[in-house]
Amino acid sequence: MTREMTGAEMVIQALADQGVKHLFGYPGGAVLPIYDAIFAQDQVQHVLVRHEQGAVHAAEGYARSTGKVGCVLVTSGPGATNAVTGLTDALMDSIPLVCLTGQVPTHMIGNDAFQEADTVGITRPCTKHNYLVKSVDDLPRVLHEAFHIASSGRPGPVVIDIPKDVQFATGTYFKPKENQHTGYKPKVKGDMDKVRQAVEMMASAKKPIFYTGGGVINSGKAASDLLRELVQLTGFPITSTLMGLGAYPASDKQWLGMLGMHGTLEANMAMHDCDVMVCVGARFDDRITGRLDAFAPGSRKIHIDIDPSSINKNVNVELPIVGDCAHVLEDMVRLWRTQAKQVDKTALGDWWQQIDKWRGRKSLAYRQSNEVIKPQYAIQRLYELTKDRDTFITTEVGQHQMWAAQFYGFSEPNRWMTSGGLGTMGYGLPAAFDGGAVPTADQGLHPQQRLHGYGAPVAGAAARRALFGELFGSVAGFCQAG
Amino acid sequence: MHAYGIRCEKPGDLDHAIKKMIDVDRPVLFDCVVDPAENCFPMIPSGRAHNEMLLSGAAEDIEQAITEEGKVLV
Repeated sequence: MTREMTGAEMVIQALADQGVKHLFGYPGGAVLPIYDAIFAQDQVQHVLVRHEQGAVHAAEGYARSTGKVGCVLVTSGPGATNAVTGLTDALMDSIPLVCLTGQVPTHMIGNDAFQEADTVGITRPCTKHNYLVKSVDDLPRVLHEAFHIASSGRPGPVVIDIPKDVQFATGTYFKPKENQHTGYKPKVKGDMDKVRQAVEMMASAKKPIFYTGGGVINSGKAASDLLRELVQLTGFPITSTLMGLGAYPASDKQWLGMLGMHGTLEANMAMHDCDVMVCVGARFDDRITGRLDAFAPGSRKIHIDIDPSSINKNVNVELPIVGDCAHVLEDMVRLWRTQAKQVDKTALGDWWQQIDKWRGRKSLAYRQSNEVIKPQYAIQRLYELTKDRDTFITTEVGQHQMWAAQFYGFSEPNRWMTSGGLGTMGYGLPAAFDGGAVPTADQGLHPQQRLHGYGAPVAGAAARRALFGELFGSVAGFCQAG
Repeated sequence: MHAYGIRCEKPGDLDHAIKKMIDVDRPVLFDCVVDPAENCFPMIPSGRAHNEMLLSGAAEDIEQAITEEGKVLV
């Protein structure tokens, strides 16, 4: 179905057709036509922020908690440059976003016009893809393509820069089609020969470990379910990066806790001593590996990643499998079951005994006090008192973030929102606006349930260190967005 | 935002304060005053391998544990 409308109306119609219910933004001269279009309809609700960076973080919270594409609307020049930190954050953590930026009219571009910035130039290194739309005829295609690119393959932020004259121009709108982008088709299914080899390698392991990451969360709920199935079928220990928390329940006996710089001793020692490492949707970040020449020296590694550029980037692996986590895990589970794979039970038993020795060191132990609240204790109590509710946690960056990761026992994916790769302070509060308020309607719950629900931004306030010390486990209920 | 403010300073008051936070039917700003001297353990010191972790008893060793090469790392 096609229809004549203005560029601004196309923007809102495309968002509605893409299933977007909430758009985070801040107005300005170069996006006024789009704001007028927003007020003329009620399918897409605008959530007003106070700074463009916050709009992007709120959209990240939305994307992370719902698995959908987060949407941002900002004006030209300073609106776009203020969004850059959020865009970089989303790129580092593979968060699907579409960010619409206003631009000066096409005939003024390059003229140092008021509130002009070279947005596609500035955002090129901090987006997965970006567009400057110079004709309204290109707009519907670009809008739909952007959603496809943001959400498929390794997710990431996409910027669409729309000059103001293009917003006013009239053109023909069309709805999204199948195969929206013929040139971008990420490989989701893993090579079966390699999956078969991986299953053989796992079955032959004496000291195996699963090392999982944010890719499992991004791959969707099915990936987490399949991961749980495979981990339980094999009996292997599992650890996860910061971004992957919640994919596997922290309450389970096979869970070793987070790994990396502030991970548990047992997770890091098991990674170091393992003979087969199964990396699922993680990227061997420097926070994980420590000194590279001493990283898991006796191991053979399987690396499942949808992004071929992550393979052999930091750490060389014996068996790379390019594909989507859910697809590859599904094949692995099926092969493991149909071939009735058995591991060396004695060796695995010895491995667990060794792991239990490391666990016995109680690496997360701290000295309790009756006088002052220990930050670890604050998170522990928060966990105990909220674990029976559907709780979303967002954080800032630093020590409190690590304590939250260590002591809040996540049991489901999409409940944990934190800035991992970029380490952006200022993330937690805007992400919580969305981590709680907006998903309600989208997840089929009564809005009141979640709106007044149990989101908890755990905020560290380095700026107030002089007064109270590094951490404020500050906990807030949800703020109603908008 | 019509938020509700809670300040908590003592471990004995914490559970009550968190329950209050959950019960309040609007946004809550919870100022939880915690030990300023507490440090985040365990840790892999900069420049060290992942099997060279420092546990909480070794707080005073952090400076020595960071290698010359480690100092240039973030």
